[in-house]
Amino acid sequence: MKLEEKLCLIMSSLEISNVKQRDLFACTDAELLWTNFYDENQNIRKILGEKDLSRLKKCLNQTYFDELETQLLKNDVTALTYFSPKYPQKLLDIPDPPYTLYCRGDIGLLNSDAVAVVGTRKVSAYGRRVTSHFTAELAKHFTIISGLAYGVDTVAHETTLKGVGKTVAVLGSGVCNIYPAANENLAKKILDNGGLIISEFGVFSEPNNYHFPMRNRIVSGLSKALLITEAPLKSGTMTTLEHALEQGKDVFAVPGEIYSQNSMGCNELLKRLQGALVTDPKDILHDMNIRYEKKEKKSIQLDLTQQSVVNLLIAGKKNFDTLIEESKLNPSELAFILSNLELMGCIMKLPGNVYQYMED
Amino acid sequence: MLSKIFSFGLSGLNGYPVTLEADIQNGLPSCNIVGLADTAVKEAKERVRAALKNSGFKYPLASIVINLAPADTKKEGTVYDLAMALAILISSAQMSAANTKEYVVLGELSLNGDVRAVSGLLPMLISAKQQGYKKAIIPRGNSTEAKYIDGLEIYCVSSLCETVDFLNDTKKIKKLESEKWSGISSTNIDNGDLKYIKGQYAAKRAMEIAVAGGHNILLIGPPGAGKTMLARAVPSIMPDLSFDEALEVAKIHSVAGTLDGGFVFCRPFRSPHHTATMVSLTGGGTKARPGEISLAHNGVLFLDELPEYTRQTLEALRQPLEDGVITISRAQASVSYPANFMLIASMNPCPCGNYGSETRPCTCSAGQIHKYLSKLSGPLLDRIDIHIEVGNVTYGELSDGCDSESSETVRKRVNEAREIQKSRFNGSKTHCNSHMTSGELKKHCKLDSKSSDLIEMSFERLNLSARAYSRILKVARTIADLDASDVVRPQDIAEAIQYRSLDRKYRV
Repeated sequence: MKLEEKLCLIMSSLEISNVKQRDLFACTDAELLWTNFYDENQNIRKILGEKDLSRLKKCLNQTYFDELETQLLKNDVTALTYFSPKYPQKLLDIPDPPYTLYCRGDIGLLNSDAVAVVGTRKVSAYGRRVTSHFTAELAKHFTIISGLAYGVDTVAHETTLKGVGKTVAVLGSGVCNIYPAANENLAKKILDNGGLIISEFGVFSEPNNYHFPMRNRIVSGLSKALLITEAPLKSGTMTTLEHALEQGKDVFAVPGEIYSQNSMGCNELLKRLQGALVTDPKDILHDMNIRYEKKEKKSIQLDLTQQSVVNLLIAGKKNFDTLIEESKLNPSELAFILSNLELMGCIMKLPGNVYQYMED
Repeated sequence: MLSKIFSFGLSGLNGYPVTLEADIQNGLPSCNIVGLADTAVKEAKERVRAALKNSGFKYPLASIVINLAPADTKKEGTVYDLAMALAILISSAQMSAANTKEYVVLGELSLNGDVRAVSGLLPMLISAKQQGYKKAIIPRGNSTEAKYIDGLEIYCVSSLCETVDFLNDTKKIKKLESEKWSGISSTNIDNGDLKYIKGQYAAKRAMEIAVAGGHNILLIGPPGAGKTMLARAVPSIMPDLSFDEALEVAKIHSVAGTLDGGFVFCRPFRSPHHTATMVSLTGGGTKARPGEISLAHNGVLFLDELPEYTRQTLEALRQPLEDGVITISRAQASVSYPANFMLIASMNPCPCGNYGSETRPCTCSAGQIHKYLSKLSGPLLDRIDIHIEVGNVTYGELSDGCDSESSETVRKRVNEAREIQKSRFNGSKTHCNSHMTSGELKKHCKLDSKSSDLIEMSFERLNLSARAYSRILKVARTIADLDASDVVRPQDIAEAIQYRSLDRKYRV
């Protein structure tokens, strides 16, 4: 392993920031640092600061590095550094690329064609539907990248896993310290399905709040395009958007109701960004010159009462009690019909005992 | 002279005979009560002395010893006052001992010689009857609870003088007429009637099913949706209370001293606040008192705002929910109380209460919602058959003039469904669908191919968890019973599927 790589790993394990690493490599030579680390170099002192300098001095030796390497081996983590030949070209092209990238899973996915699907953690039923609808189509052609957070991220990963697609999770914590803990299972599933989990933070790093905006640049950096399915005005998704624009990626967003807090971010973005509006997965595929194969519509035979309930729902989503009043059915009959329609895939049940008609 | 009076003590819900012996010796005036008496029993000597004097008797100025046998069991309460007074009177030759041997004497004395009602009388009398005692003297204040006991001659007294006159044969007291249980209609409309609840058809239907099959139910909805109102209306549709059930309930309440109105005529509805401690819910304390779950025996335990209860409190409910009985073990006592209740719980969908609402935005973070929902452990949710989401009622529904279906009609259907279940489980320990064992589930919920296809498909498509399977079958069985159908039909399964909200993984 090259000296530069060793240095990267040691510095990343000490949580020396990416910017400091960049400046350090710019002003001096790895060999010089490794063999003859001396205090007199005012440049180094200025870049690192007293605290990091003394920490680094203590750890700049082979024994410490060997310990790091054993830890990586033990946890089955691959560390790619900026100087490694396997380091993805896509990240070299972004401003401020992470000097170390810890990976669990198939690192081949780093170089595949990918689309990032991101959005709010507090996803509404609408956002859930949009996310799974778009992801299901996109996953047939692209690797899906997201952040393993609650909400849209979780839906995006889960939908990909349901199909044959591959998915990459970019974490704001260490790759062996899954955050949120509730998604530990999802992380395992991703790995089992030949996916990838990456992070620029040390193997067991805590999910510090400033990590998340930083990881978002990797999410967009690894992708060809960014799709935002549902986002409020103030949210982490907006930082991903800024990174994507800065990196010159395609950005797509799905509009939402103008009164819905949860969609205001998307709608605002669509006002500013021409050509970002998509209402169908094929819009994105078309934009990327991929032929879209149309699914054959299954025709479903409904009986009279079922049809009447469906007609009520086509007019808008309704809750159980409203349906009772409008259909004049009794609760047990209606529950029977709704269960059947749900199983046929004509309608969907939402939180709050609300039912919605599904077009596809 | 030595005298002997029979009385009774209580251990849990079972009475045991206590023999009171009094002996008067020459010596310095004193009164000692021996036989592991607690403070309430020891203080009896002051009450007895005042009562004797104020009733015109003489309090012997000598050394008095009163023994409560068996002397190695703890005695508690004020139930021995009257017996002690009689024992002293006999020992000091102020009355004859001739008649007293036949009677079990129970009652508390006031200072002026009146006999006051005591708690726990009903289980004592039942045990006395079972152990072959024929006659009992009890306080008049306890007559309502005692009159349903058949096969025991019960005499009610209101004062010490009256008791002495009666035992000396100078006054006749009519023996308490035992009353036949006429299945007194147990409507409990004070709490609420379904007809006053507008809209909420889904929730009302779910309630009806829950009550018909004895299923535990969880109501989920935003604040103000009417969850509490729905729960409070449940007693009005509960099936009639049979005499044996009523007796069990009355025994527990008699022990706890909460037998208002003398007896139990309707199923209990207990709604402890969420600050309740584990012990107050399960029962316990140094005297191993019955807790809320036992007080709710054969009735409803309503836990409003379920996630607000401490985890420890909720987890303690798991075993009684399964077994219908709770055994409280303390250093001084180990007692089993029945706790066969129907659990009604309510909760908000998230801490602010508005998650999933169309009109009001939810202000909770995803993590908060997760934390809130994860307060309910899987094993606890496992024991709740029906989850129903209760939405807000629209103004149109509220202002609608016509009444909805009344509790009376619903109760009729519930009673019919319960009758079907009674004949189905004849001879088995189970008495309603919710308590079916896996063997019974297999036997009584045979599915035809169409139904099993339906249930299989729903697992695939609707993200149901495995634990939902037997719950759906049990609820479907009850739905079929409500419709008087012998077999579980596809439509029953289909409806039951709609009552598994929390299994759907559509939340954050």
